[in-house]
Amino acid sequence: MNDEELRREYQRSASATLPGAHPEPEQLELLLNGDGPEAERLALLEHVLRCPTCGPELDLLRSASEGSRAAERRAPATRWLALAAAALLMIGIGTLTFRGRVTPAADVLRGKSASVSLIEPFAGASIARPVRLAWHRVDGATSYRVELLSKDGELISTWNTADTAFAIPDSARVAASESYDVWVRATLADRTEVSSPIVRFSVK
Amino acid sequence: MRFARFAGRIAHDRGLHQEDVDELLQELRVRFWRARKDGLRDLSAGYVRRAAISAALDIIRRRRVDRNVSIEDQDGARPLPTLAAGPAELLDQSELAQRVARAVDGLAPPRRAAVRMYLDGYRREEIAELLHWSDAKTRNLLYRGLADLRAVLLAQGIGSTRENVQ
Ligand SMILES: [Zn+2]
Repeated sequence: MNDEELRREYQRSASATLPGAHPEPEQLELLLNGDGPEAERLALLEHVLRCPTCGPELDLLRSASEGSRAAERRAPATRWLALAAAALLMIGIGTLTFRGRVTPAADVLRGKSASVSLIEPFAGASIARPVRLAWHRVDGATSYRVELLSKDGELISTWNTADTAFAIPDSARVAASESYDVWVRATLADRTEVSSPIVRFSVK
Repeated sequence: MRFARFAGRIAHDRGLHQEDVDELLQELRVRFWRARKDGLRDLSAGYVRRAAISAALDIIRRRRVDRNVSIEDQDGARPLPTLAAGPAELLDQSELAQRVARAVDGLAPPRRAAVRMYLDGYRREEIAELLHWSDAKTRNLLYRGLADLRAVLLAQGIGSTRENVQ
């Protein structure tokens, strides 16, 4: 059998049992980074390559890694400031203003085991005003923050609520036939945050 | 949008949806927007990569939560589904496909990983990168793995000796 035939037969087959449990997202990251003993990574990979849920997850991580490398490769490696600016421009952020010192957004790089699951709106929804949001309750959340963003990622308005539903008020001046991004961030008792995906919707 | 182009290439090769890349980009934009608002102090060479990977991990975690939520909504807690193939599909599978799969299962682990990836459509550079092997090592293990595989199949009367030597 030539390579193509082998491929075809292999891809047509489905194993009845998967070796091991679904790895945690952090283990997928170890796999991507090549951290840890090879034997363990090979065992993980044995599951991931055959698993219909973990396989695409690893590919998403690979996409993120490859995309960022492409962005950084382009950037001048001299100073981090120039590097960061170039990298930001590369992903389409637009112009940057560098201001003084402030602490970096703590959530930017922190991993989280829980997250906010939005019920509505769903991505791509076209909705009449008032725009209503609803999400699943997050265990241990003390409050939720709703952030409304322009298509370009600029913050338009933010609201806090203890509820798991919210209607965007008229004061936000959400305009008909415009698109917006929205997401919900939950603050937990230990002051850390978890967030929902960013969902883009348009207004009827 | 260099990031999008490169991330999109893998996503496309691997059959991920464009929405996956869009979601990743959107996540990343907001992360940068927040970092920018906060003064960009922590930006260093590896920043973009760390931010991109943490964005991807967040998306993965959320999907897992969503998957669990929707399963619980249906009929109470149930373990994550393992494989899509039901008994009917398994019956449908050709004997040949089964034998190839079983032969791959029997390969030695490093060769097996290389062969699985290769048969799954990964390019050799991608295999080398994910397994953190040199190009020579990858070529070697893949070559040997495929030879082992053909030998096993040949012993079952599948394939020809001519192909086996190639
Ligand atoms: Zn899995």
